[in-house]
Amino acid sequence: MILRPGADDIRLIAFYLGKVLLGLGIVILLPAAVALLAQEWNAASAFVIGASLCIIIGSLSDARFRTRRALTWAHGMVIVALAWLIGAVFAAIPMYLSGRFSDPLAALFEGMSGLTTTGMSVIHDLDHTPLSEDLYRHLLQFAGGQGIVIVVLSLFAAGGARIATLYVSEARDERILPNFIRTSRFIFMVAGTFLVLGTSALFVALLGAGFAPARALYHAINLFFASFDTGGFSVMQSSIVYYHSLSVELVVMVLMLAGTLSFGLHFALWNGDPRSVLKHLETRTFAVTSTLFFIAVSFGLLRAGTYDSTEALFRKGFFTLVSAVSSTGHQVNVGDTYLTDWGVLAPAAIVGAMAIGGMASSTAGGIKLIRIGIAFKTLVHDIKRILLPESALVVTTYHAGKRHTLRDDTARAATTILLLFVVTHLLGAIVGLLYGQYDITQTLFESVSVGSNIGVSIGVVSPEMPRGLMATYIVMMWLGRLEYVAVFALIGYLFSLARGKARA
Amino acid sequence: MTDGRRDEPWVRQAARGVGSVVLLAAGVFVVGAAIAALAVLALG
Repeated sequence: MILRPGADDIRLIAFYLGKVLLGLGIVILLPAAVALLAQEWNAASAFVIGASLCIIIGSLSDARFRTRRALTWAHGMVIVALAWLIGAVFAAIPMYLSGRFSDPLAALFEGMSGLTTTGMSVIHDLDHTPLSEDLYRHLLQFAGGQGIVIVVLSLFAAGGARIATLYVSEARDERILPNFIRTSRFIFMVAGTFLVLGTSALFVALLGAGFAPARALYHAINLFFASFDTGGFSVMQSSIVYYHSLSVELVVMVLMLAGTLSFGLHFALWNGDPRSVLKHLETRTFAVTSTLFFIAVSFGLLRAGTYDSTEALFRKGFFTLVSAVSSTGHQVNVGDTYLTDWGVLAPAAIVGAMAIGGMASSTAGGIKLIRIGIAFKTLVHDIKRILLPESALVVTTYHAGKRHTLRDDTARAATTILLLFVVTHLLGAIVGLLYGQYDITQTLFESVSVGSNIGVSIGVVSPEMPRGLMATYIVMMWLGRLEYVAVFALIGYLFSLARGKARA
Repeated sequence: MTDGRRDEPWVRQAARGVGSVVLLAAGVFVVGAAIAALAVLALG
């Protein structure tokens, strides 16, 4: 029997959503300040309106619905699902007001793409976007990459066990420190450290590529947010190709790999425990899958005659693979190239790498390496059970922070999410085919890239793309970022609102 | 701050953490370059 949520439940949800909007409003204030300093008046007015709406509604919600009631898992899931959706809607407001998007749906696409760190863009004339608007798009990736719920709650929350439900609901299940607030703050410390060092390294690389200091700093800051938070937005339409610099590509790859490493592994490295990293199931899965995919990419590119030197294979093929595995989406090729010049095997390997994605509890998207590792361990476990005597006790373990025993519920959870991702990718590809203007290579490539929040584009996503397909991709980005569970919990909650039995 | 080694300055921990990531990335690049070079030798 499903119980209908009461007024107190709605109040609790509205209270926390108000905090998220307050946080988003504060994020929007930074590009607003930059717009005012740079005298970008159109952008400034758009940001001031957007920030004001967020802060006013957030403050009213915080005051009106204030409560000390504890969160349950259901509340946490619903809050996180709605936070990402409402966050994308409010993030889109200044974008639409800027006049750089064809319609509100395109602005919502960009907002969702930014927050979910997908990095697909439908902005008009990206190369001439005002400085403040570029910064805003990249800041959204920073906020989304760290987890917008976590951004807000580590700033505003009183702390304690309540936050745990929101932390886990946002598809992070690694408790690095005993207290989730301290875990969130450690995550910010890692991000802050890489922000300083990564931006500096990019600045030096860009100076070496011939950029003037001011321009180098501007590009370095934006490139950092897009790379470490594995977002993939870029300042220029041609993405990383624009820089024509091996040193920029190398620094970007280091940041992408840093972003795809789980924060638990960052913690192990900070505490001088590299063996823990090498023993981790995700590290080993990454090593095996990436090696196999790059062998396939290299083989495919050489067979297709696309590139014939080690340097070209490394700078184009390897970079694209790292971009796909880390779910960043930076490109060193124009989108069409994957279709016209890369043959069949290399793009197929990239699709596989995109589908799998990076590590859990990192800024990366995709099915996640841990699930692939667990699925493989489950297969081996089941084969052993068949081959060994019936009386034999088969125990399979894996290392993920500490040694775990592979249990049926763990295996089931991993394979269920894996299946949901695969089904969503296929459905997204079918929706693309319905429009009759794309073939299966294009729609499957783009669907996997969107659904796994990668952002490498084969050219389907554009400002002129069909709106039904755009709406489909918005939902796919939302589902992929939250790994389905929170969204399904929201749907169930809405169902219980409509059909549930009233509490006594 | 990171709790694992309370008596150590966080700057040293940060340097160790970032340095380890850079080393890991370098290792990944070496493997990638080796695969590319072997592929060119085999099929180029």
